[in-house]
Amino acid sequence: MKLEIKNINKSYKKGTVKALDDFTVTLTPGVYGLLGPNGAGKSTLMNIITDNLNADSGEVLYDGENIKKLGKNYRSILGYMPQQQGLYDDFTLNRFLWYMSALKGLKKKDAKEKITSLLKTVNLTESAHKKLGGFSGGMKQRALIAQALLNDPEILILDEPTAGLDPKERIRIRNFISEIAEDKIVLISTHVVSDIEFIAKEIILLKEGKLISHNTCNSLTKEIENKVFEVEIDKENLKYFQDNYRVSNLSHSEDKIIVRIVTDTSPKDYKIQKVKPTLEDLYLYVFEGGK
Amino acid sequence: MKLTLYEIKKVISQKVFITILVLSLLMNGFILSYTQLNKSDNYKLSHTKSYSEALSEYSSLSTDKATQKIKDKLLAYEILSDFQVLATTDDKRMAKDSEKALKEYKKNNPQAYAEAEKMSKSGEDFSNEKQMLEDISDQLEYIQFYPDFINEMDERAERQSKAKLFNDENSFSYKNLFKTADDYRALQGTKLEIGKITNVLTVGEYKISDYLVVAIIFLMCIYLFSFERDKGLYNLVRSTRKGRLATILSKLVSLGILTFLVSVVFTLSNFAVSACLYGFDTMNVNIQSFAEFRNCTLPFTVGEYYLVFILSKASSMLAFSGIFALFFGIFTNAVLKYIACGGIVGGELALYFFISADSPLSFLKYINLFYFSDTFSLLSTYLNLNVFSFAVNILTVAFVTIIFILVVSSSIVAVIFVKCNQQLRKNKADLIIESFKKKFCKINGSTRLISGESFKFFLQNKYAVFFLMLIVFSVFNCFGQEEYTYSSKSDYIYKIHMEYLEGEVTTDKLNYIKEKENYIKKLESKLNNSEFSDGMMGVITNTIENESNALYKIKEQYNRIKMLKQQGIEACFVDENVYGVFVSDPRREWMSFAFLSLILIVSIPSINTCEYKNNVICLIRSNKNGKLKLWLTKVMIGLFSTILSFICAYIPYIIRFINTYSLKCLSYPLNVIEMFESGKTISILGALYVELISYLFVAILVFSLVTFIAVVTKNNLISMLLSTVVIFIPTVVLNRNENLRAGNIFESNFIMPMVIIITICLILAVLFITLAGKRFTGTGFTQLRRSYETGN
Repeated sequence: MKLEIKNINKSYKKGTVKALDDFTVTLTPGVYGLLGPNGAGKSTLMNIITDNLNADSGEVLYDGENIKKLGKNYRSILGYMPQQQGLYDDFTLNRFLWYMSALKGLKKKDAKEKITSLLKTVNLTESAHKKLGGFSGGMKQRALIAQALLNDPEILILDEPTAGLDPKERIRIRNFISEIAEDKIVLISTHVVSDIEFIAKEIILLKEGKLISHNTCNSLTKEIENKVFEVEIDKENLKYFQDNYRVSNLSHSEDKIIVRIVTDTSPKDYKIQKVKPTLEDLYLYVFEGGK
Repeated sequence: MKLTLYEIKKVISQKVFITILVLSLLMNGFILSYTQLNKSDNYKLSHTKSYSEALSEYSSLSTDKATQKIKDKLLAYEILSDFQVLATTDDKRMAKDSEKALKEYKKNNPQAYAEAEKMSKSGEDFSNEKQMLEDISDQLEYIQFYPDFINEMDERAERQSKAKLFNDENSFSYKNLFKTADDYRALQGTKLEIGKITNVLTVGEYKISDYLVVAIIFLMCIYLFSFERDKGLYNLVRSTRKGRLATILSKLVSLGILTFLVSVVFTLSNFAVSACLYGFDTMNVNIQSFAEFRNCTLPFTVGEYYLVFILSKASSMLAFSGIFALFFGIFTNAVLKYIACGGIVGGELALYFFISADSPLSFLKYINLFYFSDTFSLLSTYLNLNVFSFAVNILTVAFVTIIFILVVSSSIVAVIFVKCNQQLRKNKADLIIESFKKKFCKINGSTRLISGESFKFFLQNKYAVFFLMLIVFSVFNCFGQEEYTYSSKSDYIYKIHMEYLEGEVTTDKLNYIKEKENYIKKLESKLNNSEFSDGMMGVITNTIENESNALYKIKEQYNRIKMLKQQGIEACFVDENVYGVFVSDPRREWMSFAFLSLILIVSIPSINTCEYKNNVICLIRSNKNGKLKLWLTKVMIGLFSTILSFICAYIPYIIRFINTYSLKCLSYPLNVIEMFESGKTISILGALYVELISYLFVAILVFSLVTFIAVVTKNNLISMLLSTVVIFIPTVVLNRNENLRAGNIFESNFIMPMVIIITICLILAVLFITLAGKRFTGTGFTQLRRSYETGN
């Protein structure tokens, strides 16, 4: 099973805004993390993969066949959880999942089994007959995850799946995604880098529509191995560091402040300690300008 | 002040509110003009100019001279009716009496007699002019007797106070007698003149705008009090410095200002519509110059009355806003709010309509929001209420009650808002239902798309309520009669003949025709009678003309029946006027189509725009059945709604018609009717079917166009506005167009052009649906633009 995204170009406003610039990547079963700042082209990419949007050029191939040609056969193996905006507020969760089953073309018996089991998975069985309008943000998020999994998809596209969830639910969902990802291609777009840090097979870094990097989490963090430091400074120097370095963390220790910075050139005349980089440091290094 | 402006801005920046306001104003004006235009024998409308001329002519004369002049004119009409009796009656005694009367008229009133002779020769129908003069005469008579009515008040009070029933000085009856006399005393010496207050009466009697304004006040309350609570914003607002008393006061003031403005706009628009139809009222005469205001003790001219009317109407609407604000303040639960507001409006309406004036409970009729809003009655009636044995005028009672409602409701709302938590609490009924569902409902549902889509359209978007109201309206519309209005005398004579003749051709009926022919011959022979005056001759000539026209129509139809019989087609007598209009009536055809278009414009867009509104379009389109199948399901729901709307728009008239004229003639061939003579042989019912099918195709075209607009704009409101411009406005502009309508198929034998038009409609409908479908399922950026704009 293979999803190839080949040389995708997409621009808006008569070509003045380039959303995707010759984007190419090949996805095989496993979890992929899609990282990029706002406006990087993540949503455009997801809409192209989910057959909601046409690319200006390039193609998306599923097992060698263009998804446009596959049409509804492609959509029947696709699960999509969009970024949470609004839902049908007057639908109960039960009705919503049955409606989504209808859209996914499930048979009644299969739908019933799947809905029952997914409600347990996302811990919403008790709320099945409540209206979606009365759901909290986290509950809506779980409802969206449940609908994406109804057709047991081979390709699962998740846009900010853990936004609004409490830590316990976040871990639960993260583990669940990791569990089901064995035989699926899962593409997760998120700003919460810790979510994908532990479960993503590979991380895709996207900036201004271009693929910046595409590698495993370890390989990517290795790239900045000697660039992350913790510096102990006085309060008066904080402004200088904030202006001249990418500060990924700040903590107070007695009279001093410990700043975690990501930089190519380490500061001199300070008490410096090299630390192990995280994905968050990498995100800062790649996306926050050339400090 | 700033907060108040923000609150007003919040309401008027709501597109839905502005759209509803504009549509309500248009609908209000349309209904007012429609009801006035459809009033039968409305000479004030058909003879606006001559009515104004007559008024200015008689107002320039002294009352006595004007009365005498009108009396003479009316006498001429009386003489004319005697001419008509003498010319047409077979009753010898009646003829003798008329002849005698005419001789006396000629001798005693030669001028009026000559005038009648002149009128009879012209052959015109003078009933409207006669009615006009009678009305002016009534007004003159009223003006002459009004001073006596006022002057008698003191004497009457004195006289009645001596009666046992009234002589207790501490009783309400006694006080009422003298208060009435005191109030009317101020009117002594009031100058009365003849004039016109058609607009005052028309707007005064028109109630629809009151109901619309009440509905708009309710909507404003939702925007001012419920929106922030529903969105949980009150916690934020109430935590700020001016977030409590200042906020609620600014909301109440905004509601007051908006209510006042909306009410004034509606009332002014009513006066404007009425003035367009009837011309301007006589503004500078005292309002007591008109019999309708005989009991009014307010010393106003008509112009001043306009101002007082507008202000009084707005004040009564403020009372409604106060009551609604109170319920919106007390209840956080939406259902309870609606029930309370609906209950008070329904209750007040029932008390206003069902309690009679002489009931012991009549104070409930008078101290009533709907009585206060019936400004015309309030200002034109003199009424004192018994308030602890004191006689208090209804105007004072209304004023005090409105102030009381406003002060009390505002205070309660303010205290509740300042002191109580404004968080939305869950409805207890909802909690019970939820726990019941949790216990007893299983995970079950349907995997048919139509089920989910129907739920979305009818229940989620509340169109079930819309269609239910439409069905109830249509059912009520099915009751009643559909009488044909006879515009000319010959038509009326024709109707009388057809009441006997309608149905199969029998020997008796043929004899009846012969009898009528003989009657005309007899009248013709009277023309040779030299004893008859010129006036009589004129009347006889007119009668012959009318009778001959009616009989000619019947004989022509008989000839067509004979021709059809020769072709082996069984045909019968039918009333050409009634069934002609049943099959072909430009006004009805266009009105029904405009009504249907309006229903489709309001209902159809929501089927296709709701996914864009809540931004789940990308989610649903990424599923197996999320494109073509979903689109086809939406089209099916749209078609079902179109057919339902079509039935509601077209069937009530047919049922009313059948109620009035029965099914008897519907199977007869249409070709017996003169205007359909050249058409293909088809029964009246068959023609009706063809017509309905034609309109159904056009309705489907409208549906497809509205759907296309909705898919392109992806916005419910813009779709409605655009569809109104593209469909509804042209429909109204083309109203009464003779050629562009289905009824014309049978009149002009336009079968081929009509088939072509229907085919074009069908092709266009398919084209619009296909294009809309392509857009809905397509993957161009424009398809997702709205989701991008709102989502990302």
